[in-house]
Amino acid sequence: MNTKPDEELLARWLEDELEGEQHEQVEAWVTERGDWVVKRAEIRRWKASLRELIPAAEDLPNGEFFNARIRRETRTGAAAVEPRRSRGRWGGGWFVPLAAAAGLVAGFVVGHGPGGGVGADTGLAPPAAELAPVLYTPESGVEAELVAARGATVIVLDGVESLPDSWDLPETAAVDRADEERARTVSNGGR
Amino acid sequence: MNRPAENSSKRETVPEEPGDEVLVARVQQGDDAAYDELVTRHRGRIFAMIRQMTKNEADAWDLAQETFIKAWKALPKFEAKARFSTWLYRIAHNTVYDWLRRKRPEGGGELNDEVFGEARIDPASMTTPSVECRPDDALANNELRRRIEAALGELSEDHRQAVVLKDVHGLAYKEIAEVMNCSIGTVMSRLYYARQKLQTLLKDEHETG
Repeated sequence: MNTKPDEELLARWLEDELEGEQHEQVEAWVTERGDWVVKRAEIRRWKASLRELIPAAEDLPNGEFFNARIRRETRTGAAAVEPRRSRGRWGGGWFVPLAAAAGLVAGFVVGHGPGGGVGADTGLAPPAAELAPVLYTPESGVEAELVAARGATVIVLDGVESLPDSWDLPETAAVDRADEERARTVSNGGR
Repeated sequence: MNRPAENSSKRETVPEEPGDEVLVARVQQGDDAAYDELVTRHRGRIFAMIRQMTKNEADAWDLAQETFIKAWKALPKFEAKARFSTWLYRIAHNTVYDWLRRKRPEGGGELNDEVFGEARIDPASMTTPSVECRPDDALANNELRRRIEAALGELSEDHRQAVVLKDVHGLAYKEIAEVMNCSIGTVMSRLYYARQKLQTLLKDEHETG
């Protein structure tokens, strides 16, 4: 090929994208133009070095849980994918996440009766996600749910502001006495 | 001493993994397990690409989830004109860009840093950045990785995306054009500019560091 290949073809040749006849044509043109061969070598070196340092694929943290959540979303026909909520609009500070956690623990106890486990059909109270938390002050955009993945049960609080680093976990979580009684009754088999 | 040749009828063959197009067809026919397989197969690359764009592991995890859920919803309309992986990258790209736009402060930031950055590019510099990896020096490589990631962070989203897709993920120009919904010419010029700027940034840091 005596005519200079067009810019796109040359760019693709530099990136080793060409095959067959196109590749041969450009190779024939660059044979006597060493600067192009040098450029291609530089690009190859750059990409090889970069890929040594920045991988094209990474191990996803909690991969099993990642898949489990997608399975759950796709099986339930997936709620509309919501845009990521802006957080930090809470006036309750640290108390609200504590209250939400307490309510969720109470719900988990109620739903986890004798012989039952997450997902087991025990005929007991519905899953935590459907129980109104005891001390939780309703705020839009917060959801609680239990997700069973192999080897783990995960409680997910979605939409709650992050706990501050300075917050110490109290030894006991405040629980409404009525719900505590109810939980005790359930764990005793209704007696 | 040569071992006797195995009886070919007893030779065990490892079944080939079905290609993406086979799994996609199964999903479209209602096979949920096939989609789980697709997720497992592609999540590493999608997560990596998103993390390279967002620079935050937790956000990348969430956005990767969002990507696969969106892909599942759109799969009935997928026609296999493009490769499934390219199509998935496109959904990831759009998801990331939507997130970046929501994060950007009102009126702040530029999608394209060519306007303000041109003066810094050294015309005499080589087209391609150069870095020296040292296979036996993990510490040096970690530092190099930090420098490169910092330099990538200096690029606009479009330029960073072009470099990540081309130089890290190895997509062809045509595929990148599909992912970024622009012409091949635009991809070429973004990549050229991005590499020039990276060369300048990495050279500057080397000289001052």
